[in-house]
Amino acid sequence: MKTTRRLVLALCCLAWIAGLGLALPSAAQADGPKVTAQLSSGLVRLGTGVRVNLHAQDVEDARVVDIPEVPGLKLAGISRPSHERRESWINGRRTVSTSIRWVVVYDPIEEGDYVIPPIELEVDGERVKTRELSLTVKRDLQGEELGYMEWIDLPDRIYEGESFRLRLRFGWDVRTSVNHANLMLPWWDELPNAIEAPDPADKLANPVEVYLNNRQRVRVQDLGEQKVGDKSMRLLELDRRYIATRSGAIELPQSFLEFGMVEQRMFSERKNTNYVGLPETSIEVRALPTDGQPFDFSGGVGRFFVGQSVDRRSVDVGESIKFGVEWSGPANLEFFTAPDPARLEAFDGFRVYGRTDEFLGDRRRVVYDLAPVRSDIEEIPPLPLWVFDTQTEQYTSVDTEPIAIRVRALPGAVGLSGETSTGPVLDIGDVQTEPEGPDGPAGPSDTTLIAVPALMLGGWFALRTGVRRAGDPDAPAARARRTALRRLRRELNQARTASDQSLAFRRFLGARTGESPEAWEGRPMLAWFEEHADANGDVQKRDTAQRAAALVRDIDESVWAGSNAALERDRIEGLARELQGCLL
Amino acid sequence: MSAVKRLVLQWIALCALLVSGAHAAPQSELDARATGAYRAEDYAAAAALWNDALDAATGALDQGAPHAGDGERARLMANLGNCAARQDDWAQAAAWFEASLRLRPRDAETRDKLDFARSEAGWSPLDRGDLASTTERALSAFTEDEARWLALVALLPLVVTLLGEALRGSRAWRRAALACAALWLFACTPCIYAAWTADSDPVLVTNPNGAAARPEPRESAERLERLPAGTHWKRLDELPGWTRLRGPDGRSVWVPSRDVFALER
Repeated sequence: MKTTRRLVLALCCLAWIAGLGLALPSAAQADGPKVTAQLSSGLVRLGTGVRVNLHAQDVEDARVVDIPEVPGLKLAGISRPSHERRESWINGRRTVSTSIRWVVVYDPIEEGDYVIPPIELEVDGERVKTRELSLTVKRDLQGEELGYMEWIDLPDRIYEGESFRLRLRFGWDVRTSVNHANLMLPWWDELPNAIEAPDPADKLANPVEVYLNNRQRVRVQDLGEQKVGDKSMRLLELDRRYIATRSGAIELPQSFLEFGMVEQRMFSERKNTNYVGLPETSIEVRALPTDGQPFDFSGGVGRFFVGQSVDRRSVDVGESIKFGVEWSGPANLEFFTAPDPARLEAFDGFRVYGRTDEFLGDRRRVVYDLAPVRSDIEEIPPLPLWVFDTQTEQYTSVDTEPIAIRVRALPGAVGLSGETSTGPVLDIGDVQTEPEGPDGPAGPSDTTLIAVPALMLGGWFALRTGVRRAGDPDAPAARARRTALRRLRRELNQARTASDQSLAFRRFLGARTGESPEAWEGRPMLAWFEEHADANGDVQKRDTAQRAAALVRDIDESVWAGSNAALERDRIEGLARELQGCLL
Repeated sequence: MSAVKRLVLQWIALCALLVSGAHAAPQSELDARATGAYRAEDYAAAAALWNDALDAATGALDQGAPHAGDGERARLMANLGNCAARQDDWAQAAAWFEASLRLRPRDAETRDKLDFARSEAGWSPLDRGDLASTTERALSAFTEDEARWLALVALLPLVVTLLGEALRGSRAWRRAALACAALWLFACTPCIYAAWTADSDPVLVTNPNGAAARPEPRESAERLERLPAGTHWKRLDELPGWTRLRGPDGRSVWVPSRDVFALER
């Protein structure tokens, strides 16, 4: 089997290279430990310490291996690890997670832009590195009155599993000259206890790009010129949707906007920028209440709205109805478990053949394939979805509206006596009483499966090399030689005079000998044939040569001394075949 | 050949005939009795007899070629599934039908029975209709022997085109050879899949309430989680009354053997 595995591996690689691999299901991303590093602020005044909050989630054990030295930043110290254990229910599953935190403190010594290299940790026996962190240290932070930055509708408290938006509106006085805007958001991609959710808000109506953390660019919505207080501001908005994954706190460190003029010179740049910032804040994430949690809780958290549709309302018994349900609203639409009608008593009159489930950005659509099994069914009953409503802070059921349907009995269907059901009765088939015949031949062995292709490839290579020693079989001359007789036959069919036949025959001779047809013009045929015939005088070859010479002589006579009448076609063709067989 | 030698050979042949007859008779007799019991609606007795017949077939298998009698064993397993279904044990029935399908993967009747049994057991269909399920079904539509033959036979067009390429060397032959090589690799995929899954040794959780996974094979051990009914797991080891599985997150866990059904039989 080991040999087979090796073969299998090789074949797999080839199969995928050849592009033949069938699309296999994409492997779900493994839920492994998550390590984040977050600066307390991406911009600090000289003389103010900056914290790096290290957070290892869902780990058994972790330790900091190496804290990098950064010239210009003095490492002030690292705190003891702080362990935290949490238990929560998400999507109907109990989650127990342990997280460990450290705080590393740096004291800036000089003004400048710094990159703190990745910090190495050992997490459950494996080495993991954090991301690089960008830090700007300034002697003075000026220009706050020229800029604007504000959280819009930032929630104070949310529930685990709930989706929430981070809307950061920022801008500057329209009288300020600005060709450079850089958001310093230390929490970007480093939010513990939350994951970013796909969002249709990615499709911005009026997008512009600004710098993010000095390293990358991010698309934001351009809101144009607006009044803020008594000032006219050019406003932009960054909008992202997240989902809280566990209870605790989502900390948002100080965020800054750097804006102003940057002049690019040949080897440097000259900055004249201003800064406006937001203080650090946090969002409290509360655990879902366990009291009163229904058994059928789907994991849905937020505000849910539901709509339903069917592709037909009048069907025969057993006929499929596509029952589409769409859930929408500010909620974790992509994460809840859609209800299964097959497990609901209300759907006893239906057989559920399957469903398609898709998340469409702003709504979740599930289409159930239902088939009524009885003709007395009059409606598709309400389909409940148990969710936690964050507005009422209670578990509630979001039900679809019942849909009236008409189910016809199958024509000619007759119920069994004593049975009330008129629909088709589904049951298991009978046992198989006839013994099975003998099995087919045993499959080829591993050795055969490896040896046959290998031998085949070896044989092909050897044959190919041998053939090419005698010349390229695909060269024009070789191809012409192979097709000479076929071409002669075609040309003789079209020939009307002896001249045409002479030309066709010379072309044949030329193609077979690798010469031009003109080389055979006036050549003493008999002498040439006798010269190339077997020296010892094979009788048949000599005879063929003599007849070929006679044929050429006859054709020439007809061309030059006669009426140019065509000779018998079969004679030329027969002789050509003989020549190809023994002389050419 | 002397008369004595001839006599000895005839005696050996007679003994071999008797011995083979003695082996063949009980299995067919058990099968006939099981069918009779099934027709008489004594499903427990029918199941016991077909189980014995299956043991006999498996015993014969151990002495013979590795895949001889797979079709017959698949039939007996499907019949055992019928017995379980008639006793309203749909989970067990689904397990037997699935085990049968592993040996006879293109048997449409058994597949229908499996779908029906899973539906009655309240489980989702094995073939969910998505791309992954369809691909898996297509790849497992052949037995290992069939997949091997397919991989070998698919070499024939490649041989022909390689021959043409070696002798003629034109672009058309080269393209044809490449196409045939691609076709061959495609034909190899069932064989690759069969080899890949050869030692998977899956079990199916048949307890409707799921199987309690524990770190050690004793009832007093802490229950880590419950493996849902109708799900598949890889069997790693066995102790009397306990089966060790590769559980969620790749951890090995122990579950009571009565809660799971080994599909490799």
